[in-house]
Amino acid sequence: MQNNKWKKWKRKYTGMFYLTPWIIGFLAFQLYPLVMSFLYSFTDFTMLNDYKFVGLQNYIKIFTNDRLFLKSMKATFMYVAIALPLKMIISLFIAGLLNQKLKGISIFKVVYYLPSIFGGSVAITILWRFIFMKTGLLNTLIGAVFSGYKAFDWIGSPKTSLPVISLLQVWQFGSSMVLFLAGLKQVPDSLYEAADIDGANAVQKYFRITLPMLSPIILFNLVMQMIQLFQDFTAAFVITGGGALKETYLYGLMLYENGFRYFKMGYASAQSWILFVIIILFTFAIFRLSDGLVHYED
Amino acid sequence: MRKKRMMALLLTGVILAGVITGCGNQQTETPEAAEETETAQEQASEEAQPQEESGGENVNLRFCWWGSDTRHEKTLEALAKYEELTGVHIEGEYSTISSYYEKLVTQLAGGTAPDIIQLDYPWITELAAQGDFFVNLEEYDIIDFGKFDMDYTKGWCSEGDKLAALPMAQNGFTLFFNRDVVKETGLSIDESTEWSWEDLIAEGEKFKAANPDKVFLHSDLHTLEKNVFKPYVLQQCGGQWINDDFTVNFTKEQLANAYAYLLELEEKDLIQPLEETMAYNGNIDQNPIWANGEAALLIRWASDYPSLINDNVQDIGCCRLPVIEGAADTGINCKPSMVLAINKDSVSVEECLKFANWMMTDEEAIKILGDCRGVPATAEARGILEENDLLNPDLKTGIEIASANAGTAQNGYHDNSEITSISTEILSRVLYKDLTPEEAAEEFLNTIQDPLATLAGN
Repeated sequence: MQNNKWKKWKRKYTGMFYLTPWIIGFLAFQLYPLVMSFLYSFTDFTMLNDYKFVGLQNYIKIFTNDRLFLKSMKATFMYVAIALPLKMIISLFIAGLLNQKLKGISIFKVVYYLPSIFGGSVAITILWRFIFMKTGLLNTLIGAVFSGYKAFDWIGSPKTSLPVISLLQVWQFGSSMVLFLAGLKQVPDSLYEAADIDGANAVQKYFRITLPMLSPIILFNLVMQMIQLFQDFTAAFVITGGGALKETYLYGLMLYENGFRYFKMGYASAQSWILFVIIILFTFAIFRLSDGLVHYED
Repeated sequence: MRKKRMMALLLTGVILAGVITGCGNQQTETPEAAEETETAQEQASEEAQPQEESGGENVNLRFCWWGSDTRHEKTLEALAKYEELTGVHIEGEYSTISSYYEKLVTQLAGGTAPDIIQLDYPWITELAAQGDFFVNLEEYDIIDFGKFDMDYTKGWCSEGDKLAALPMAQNGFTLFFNRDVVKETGLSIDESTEWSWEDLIAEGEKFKAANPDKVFLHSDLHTLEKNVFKPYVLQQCGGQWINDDFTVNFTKEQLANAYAYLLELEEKDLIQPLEETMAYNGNIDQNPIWANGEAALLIRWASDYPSLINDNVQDIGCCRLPVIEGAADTGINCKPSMVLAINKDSVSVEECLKFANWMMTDEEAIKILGDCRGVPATAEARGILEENDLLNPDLKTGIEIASANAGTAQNGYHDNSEITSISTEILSRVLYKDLTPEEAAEEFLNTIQDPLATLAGN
């Protein structure tokens, strides 16, 4: 009897026991900071002071008296608008190439994933400088093709600095590419065989079979990459520092400066909650717009 | 289907929540991680054996500083020697200046700051406004204050009645010149040169006419703001950059003059266009122009002298920073290059103080450290280094020139990070021709009102 009870209890709670590390981590490092950042957003917390409650003052100031907020929002939206579609298209395209049955394809998979491992580091800053500076690789290449081309500083110019840092994100397409690749491998060959019998060509097969079958993964990648891009910080921090003319002053960089450079942690918390709401709205919109476009196999 | 989508939305929300609490913490870690790796590496490997008579066995302290490789190596050597002499183990936590202060404040907030802390003097004021973090050195009878110039020490390292730190070395702005370029181009400059800013432009025009491929004044936005814009404004208005009552002395016209001057420097091609130097902003040493010997002049702290020497640039000299005719103040910033404070929550304040005293007053320590932090702040240490030929004469000359022409000693608000950010951004808009000097002056005066009010506690 006792033994039975123990077995029942064990069956019921073993799973929970294994989940405990994650739950503790989630509570301590995600939920607690989340709640605290919400509370701090109503205070003048600086990390070091005895903070006081200031009501909605931080939020009011953000919308009425922060000259960089709109500039940063604009830069961030532009950044997402440039990097998101490019990253999705390139990762899908490369995944398609890597889905071929070729000898040594694993080496290509590793090579294409490498940029995602490098992340944003000082080495990447130097690499980007070598490519985009006035005497850099890009200008040299353009100059070789078009004689009379006047070299141009891509990082320092307000018109091109944002596309340049967007390319860093696009270059790091590895994680979404891996998901696309996994998705492509799941598409049953029988569908393609049936299409062949029906006389479908490669383009038709791609748009009628591959893309619909990949649509849940496209949706997932779209949402995840959008979230990541809205919060991105590295590219602007390491390459341009928010310049030129604040054209690359991404939201993540603004949060960092307010929180960790000016120590206005309460204010930065309020800004992060505004970003949170924006991302939730966009995520919700994407889910609504995807109705009927995403094919679930159930 | 709907349920599935709702689940997906919910899961997305959870992930988002996780990421937003860290303000994108995966990304923010990346640049700092490089420094931390650097910090973790190259720890002192000397195998010094604690002596029997030492009273400090089992005491482990942490000491953080920023600097170059030379400073790291010499400081680690000093720590090993101290352990050999006393048995007190001090772990070095060292990095570059980049993000040093941000990391330190986070550590102070989390109660994990090192025991012995190298600071820049304005941080004493900034941190004192937030709480009480450092030991009042005068409360202990350990530091040999007789060896310090106490007017200088108290002037720079006190907050109210509290002596929060000790000055480690002296520093000041100087105009460096590459002697090889000077010889090659016939530029008329030596240690006795005392140019006005107008002279700088006149000489620069002659220089560029004869040497269009060379850079006259090596710069980036950061150094232009700190080393040209601020001195130019202070030379007109005199006094503090920001007064102790959080007002300012400068007028719109004075600001506009400074912006117009910088614009003239750019338009006359005497500095590299901002587009070209933006990629190196804040890291001017990464711009190869100076290192390749292609630039004639550079305005920097005198203590930066060793970092300006390399295989291509072997012979450099320095002279006084340019000063406008009839200046109200030279605006030449002279200050301790860095100061040393003791964490109030240290595991052993007394051991920290003993180390600080040894580091700055003991002959052996002084010889080991040499001029890695610039010209030492105590006369005795300067004497020891000179006697032993350990003090770079050019570095000493630089400090002497700057000190002889020092402007008003600036208070801790001089380098306020938010006001500096505003100032830098508006200067960039002038140089990108997004604002005229007059518009920029007005914008600057309007925009700094908010951080000034914050400083004043309103």
